[in-house]
Amino acid sequence: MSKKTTSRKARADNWTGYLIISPWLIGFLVFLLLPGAYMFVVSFTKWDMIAEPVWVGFDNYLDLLDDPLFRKSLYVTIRFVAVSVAASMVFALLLALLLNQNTRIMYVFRTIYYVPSVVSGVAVAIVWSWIFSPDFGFLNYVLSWFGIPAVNWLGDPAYAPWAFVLMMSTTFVGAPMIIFLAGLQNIPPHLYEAASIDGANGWQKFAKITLPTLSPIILFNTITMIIGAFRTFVQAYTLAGMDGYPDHSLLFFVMYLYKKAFHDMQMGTAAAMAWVFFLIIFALTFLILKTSGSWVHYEDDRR
Amino acid sequence: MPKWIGRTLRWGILCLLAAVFAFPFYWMFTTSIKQASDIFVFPPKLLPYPFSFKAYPEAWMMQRFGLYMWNSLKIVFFNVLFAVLSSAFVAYGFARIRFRGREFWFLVVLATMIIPTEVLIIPQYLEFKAFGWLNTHLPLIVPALAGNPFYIFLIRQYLKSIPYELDEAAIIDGCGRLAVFWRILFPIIMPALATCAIFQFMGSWNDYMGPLIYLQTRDKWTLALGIASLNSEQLYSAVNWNHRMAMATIYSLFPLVMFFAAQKKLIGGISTTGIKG
Repeated sequence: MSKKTTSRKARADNWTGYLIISPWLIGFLVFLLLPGAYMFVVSFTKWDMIAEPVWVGFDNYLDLLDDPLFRKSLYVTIRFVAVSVAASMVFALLLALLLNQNTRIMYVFRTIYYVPSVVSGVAVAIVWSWIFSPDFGFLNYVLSWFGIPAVNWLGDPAYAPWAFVLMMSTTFVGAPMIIFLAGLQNIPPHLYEAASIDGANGWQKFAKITLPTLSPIILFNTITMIIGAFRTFVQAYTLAGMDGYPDHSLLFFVMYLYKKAFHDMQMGTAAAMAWVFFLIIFALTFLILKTSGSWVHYEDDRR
Repeated sequence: MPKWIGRTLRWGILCLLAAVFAFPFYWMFTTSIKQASDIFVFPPKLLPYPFSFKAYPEAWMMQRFGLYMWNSLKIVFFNVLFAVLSSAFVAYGFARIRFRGREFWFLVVLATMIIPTEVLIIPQYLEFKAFGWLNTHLPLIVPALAGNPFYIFLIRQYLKSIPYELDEAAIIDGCGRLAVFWRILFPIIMPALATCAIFQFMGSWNDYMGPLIYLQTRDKWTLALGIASLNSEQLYSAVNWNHRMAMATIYSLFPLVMFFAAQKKLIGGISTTGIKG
């Protein structure tokens, strides 16, 4: 008797469970799984959204390999990801270490460093484009104090990517810094006390206690920052236009994808690009998680 | 190394970087109130004196910014409402109801977090085109009904910290599953919902690519599009830097005010993602 009741109850719960998660489940099917599958099909066609799509097999993917702008956009994006993620990570950790004190002034600093992350990319890009102005820009003014001649930051392909990294670091640092800070405040002080008694110096404490305890957070930040940097669009689009002026030096992957789809109306090529984009991010995340076992340290009691 | 060197270094770095981070906002605002003749000067004038706020009404009249703002606020309002309610409901299912396949579907929720929205813009565009939703605000609002994997995760974690005895007691008192959610748990998870609401507000307010793709005519535009066009159409009109900065200031004010009002919640929310994630 009792067995029958539980099984009926379990069945009822199955229905309730699926009913309650149904908004997400339906959304997952309608906005993610079906479009994703559809895009896979589209990526094997040539289609301008006007004429009938034509089946071309793997041509779109193969054509991408021959497209110098595609390679350029990949290069621009990957170089930016590598430089900006590394730089922002170091700055975020450095700032978190410097801010790791619960005094009022530290909260003020923390706020200042986080503010650029909440402001829209359009507004940030507009302000910085004025700061980067070759003739009247504030950056060149600061450099002139040191006798450095004016640089055409956004007009010279040799400098534009670096100007962009500088601008983006201010928006990239905030979130990982906050997460690092929370991680630092979770490290039990007795670890440092024990190390001091054993005669460890500051650097040893950092390398043997701080870094290992923060390693799961470093892993988390690395993945989210890499994905975030790969998605770069609005700031570059506002600063450099659809073609990533000058000389495509700011032609990011997503910008080129946008151009292929909504400007050149080459849906098949754009769909293939989107799949490549997804595969790159998926592979990178997978690779980082796979190798994380060797450098990420989990405390037993927290797992 | 003497202690004062470390201290000086620490404060030096903190202040220098704070200046770099805060300067763009100072420059944005001060440029917006500078006289037009004080803008194209080198060396740049650090203090906006004499100043005037006339760039604000001038810029505001250049395009239909009132309408853009109304559109932005409308989209943001429904986005926040739908995304938060839906995520809370779904999180409740994952946290409190035992059903077959729950662990699997939750893993799927987590996995979708790494999929950038940009990957799916093409098929979603085609889908919304088939629905006849182009040049309406629906593509920017309706997907929020599905909830957001990150919020689902956040709220589920929060629900997990609330003792299940609370649900049981309510069920014994005759509450159904829905009543348990609405009457008992919903008020308790408010702090988590507020965090998600702020995130969603920022995301939706700052969104540029969505409006760029879906909204074609200016009467549907959002502030983001209007301000970007003010920036790109400079060559053909009387737009000066003080106009652009004035609109950028207005546009930034919303997330900034939101941030300062809810700083604790926001920062708490970000911290949780990394620590428990």
